[in-house]
Amino acid sequence: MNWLPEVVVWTSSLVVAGLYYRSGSQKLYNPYAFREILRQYQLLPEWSLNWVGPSLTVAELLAALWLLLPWTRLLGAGLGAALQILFLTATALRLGTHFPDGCGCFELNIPKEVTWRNLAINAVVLAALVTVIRLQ
Amino acid sequence: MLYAITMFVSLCFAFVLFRRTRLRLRAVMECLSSLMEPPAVISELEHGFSGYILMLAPMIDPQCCSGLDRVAARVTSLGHRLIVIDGPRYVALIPKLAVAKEIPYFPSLVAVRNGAPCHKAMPAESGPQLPEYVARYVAKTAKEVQSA
Repeated sequence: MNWLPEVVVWTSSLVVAGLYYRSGSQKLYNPYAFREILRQYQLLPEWSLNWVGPSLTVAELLAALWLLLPWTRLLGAGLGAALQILFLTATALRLGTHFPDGCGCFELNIPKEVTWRNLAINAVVLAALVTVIRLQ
Repeated sequence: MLYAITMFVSLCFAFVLFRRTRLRLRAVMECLSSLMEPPAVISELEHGFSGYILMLAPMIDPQCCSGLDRVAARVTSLGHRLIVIDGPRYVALIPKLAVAKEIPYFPSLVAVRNGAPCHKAMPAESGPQLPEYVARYVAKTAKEVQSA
């Protein structure tokens, strides 16, 4: 069973990297929509949105890349975990809120409400990343 | 060594992406502010016809259709209804938003007006030129639709 941790690490890394790539590339091609979503969360000052939006987008893509490469995986998992803690906090604070332009949870521009499901998905992703950090 | 090379390449890549995204975001915001603040398009349209305001979705916001909300709010506050004329890139996205916002949506108009070089003539970077172009295009389309 020596191979089991390796399989878990690879599977978790591939799945989370895929999620981050999808999410990050959507935001990359649609930076205004993501900025509007961040504004609607009302957790950040207006002046910071033009910096935070692109930074989060790039951080997601970097985490995806680093998770795929074994020699940077630990760093990628650490960055991903930090992002997940931010996302979890934001969704927990805005649970039940309706967002006209989407909640930034893998879909932009489609009206959406933050639900327990979003919170659970973020928690599962965080758990996968913590597992990668522990087993790596 | 491998780690150092990967870090260097990925951080350069991250910097380029960050800069590109910031520039893109700025272009969209300039475009929107030039479209919204002096209500040139809307005031011109007010005299052109009554009842409906027509907007070409890619002109409202070259990167995404979030700006549609703001335009819709502005237009409806003036007592007009908004019709969205879609472009090919937004076919998948606009109907969902239009349905959610109860905005009349006529994708068939795109096929009729396909001769207008809206996409080619208006790259995202040319935001400040948008209002005049939109006004001309929309007023022309509106008259054609009215007389049809």
